[in-house]
Amino acid sequence: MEFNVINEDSNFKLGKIISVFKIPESEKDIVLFSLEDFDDNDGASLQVAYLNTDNNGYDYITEIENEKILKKAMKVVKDMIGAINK
Amino acid sequence: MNMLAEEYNNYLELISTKEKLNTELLNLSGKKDPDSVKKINVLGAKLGDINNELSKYDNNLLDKVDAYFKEKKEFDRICKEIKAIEDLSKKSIGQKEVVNSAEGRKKKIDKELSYEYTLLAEHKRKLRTTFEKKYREIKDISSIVKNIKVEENKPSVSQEHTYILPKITTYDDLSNEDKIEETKERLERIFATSLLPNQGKKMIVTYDGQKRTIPRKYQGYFNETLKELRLLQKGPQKVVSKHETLNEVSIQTVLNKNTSNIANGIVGNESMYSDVFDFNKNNKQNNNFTFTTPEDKQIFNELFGNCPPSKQEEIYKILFSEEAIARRDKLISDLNRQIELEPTFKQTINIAKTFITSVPQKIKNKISNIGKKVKSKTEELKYEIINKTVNLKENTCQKISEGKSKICDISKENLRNIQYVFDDIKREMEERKNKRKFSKDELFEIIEKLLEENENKDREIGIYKAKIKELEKNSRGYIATGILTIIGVIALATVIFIIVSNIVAG
Repeated sequence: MEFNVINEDSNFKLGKIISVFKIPESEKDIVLFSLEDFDDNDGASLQVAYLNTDNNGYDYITEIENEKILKKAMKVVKDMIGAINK
Repeated sequence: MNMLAEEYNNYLELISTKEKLNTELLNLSGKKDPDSVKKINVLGAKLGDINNELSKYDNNLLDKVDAYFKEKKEFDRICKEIKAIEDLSKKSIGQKEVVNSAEGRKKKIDKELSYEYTLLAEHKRKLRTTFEKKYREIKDISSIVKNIKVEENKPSVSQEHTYILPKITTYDDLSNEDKIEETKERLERIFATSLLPNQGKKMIVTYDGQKRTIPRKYQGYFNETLKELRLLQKGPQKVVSKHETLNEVSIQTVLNKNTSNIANGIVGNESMYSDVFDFNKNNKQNNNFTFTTPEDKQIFNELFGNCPPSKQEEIYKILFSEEAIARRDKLISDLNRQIELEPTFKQTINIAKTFITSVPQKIKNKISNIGKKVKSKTEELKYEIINKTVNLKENTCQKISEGKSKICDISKENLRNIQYVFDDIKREMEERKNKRKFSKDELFEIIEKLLEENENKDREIGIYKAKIKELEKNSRGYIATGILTIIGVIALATVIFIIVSNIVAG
């Protein structure tokens, strides 16, 4: 699923949801998504964020403030991709 | 002879080591830092040991043996060279010459080497004479090491002592001289007590008008003792008692002088009595109680001051005499040297080995449990994959801090591959509709399954590709045959047409 993103530099980017997972340390679900420019640039990045749901049932993503959880989420992504690239 | 050679080799080794140590010592000369000083001490100790070892060798015998082995070395070298020329000549295909060997035998030697061989043979002949002479000199020598019996340095502590205790006699048994002596000592003790504080003092006026105090309670005792001394001195003429030494005589004269004044009822001044008060000290010096350090003296007085003189002598001899101190210093020095020279590395290893092998089972179990915990900690990464379709509101923009949430940069191609895989995973998860969350193990199971399917697909694709290639090959064959057939038919038709037209025309 694709969505629009505005980053800290107010640049618009294209986000694509890859997967959703959960770690015991966090009550919220964590979303793994990619981020790429709208131009023909070959660069992209993998990102993680909290996945929240508002009162209307729509989802939205927020930053993971907790360093420990952020690191753990990154480790999970590494673990999953490691298994895929086996 | 073997033993002699061994001893000689040991000697050479010692000399070599000594030279090395001397060189090291020379390098360290002038350095005053603690490490260098320590090294110098160690080297000095080693050199001392080597010198001790070298001193065990008999120099006369050593000279003879040294000369013999040097001669032997040269003789062996010549023999080897001669043998080498003989061997070379045997293998040589050049012209040969008959030459006399050192023993007078005829040898066929290569012409090019014959001159050198002759010289060597001549040298060997001369050398043999001196070599045999040197051998005769040493053949009766069985050892070059002096036969020194090592004297055991028994410490005097372990020696047996017989203690002769003084015979206990009553005052009445004493001779007149001894009685006078004893009385004088009693008086000295009374004077000595006047130095003690917090006592009721009695002032005594001395003969020169100076004042002096003695304890009041000893006043009567003092008068009685003085009276007794006066009576004793009026008795038989004084004879020097048998146990008095010359030094004691000199002190005695001083005492006599003082006590005679006392006997006349005149008490001398303090300076006069200083000799009297120092009597015990002088007495100790008579017993040769000299100490190397003031600490030793203090310890001796504190601990053994009240012992009987005979015991004091014994203790002094064992612990405080010059010999005892020298023995103690040597022991400490030897211990230090031993500690420095000890192969501590080996010891440490042995200790470590012992320690490791003797670790109790309990501790071993604990350690292994820690290992397990650490291992499980590293492996512990629990998470669940959630089968969820994210429902983001259309025409909205998600605000995130890209730099903070980023895991890594990735190329778009790799990203597409990852997305394909995760799409497949999602599809697999959706097939299991009763489940929303999948554990890590289940995820890995799905990934395994997908990888296997991919492999199968790859294999199938490979097969299909091979089939297509084969078909391509075959199809090329059919086309060629068809073309040839068509060409053949056209040519045949043309020939038939020409023939028919010729017939019709003709």
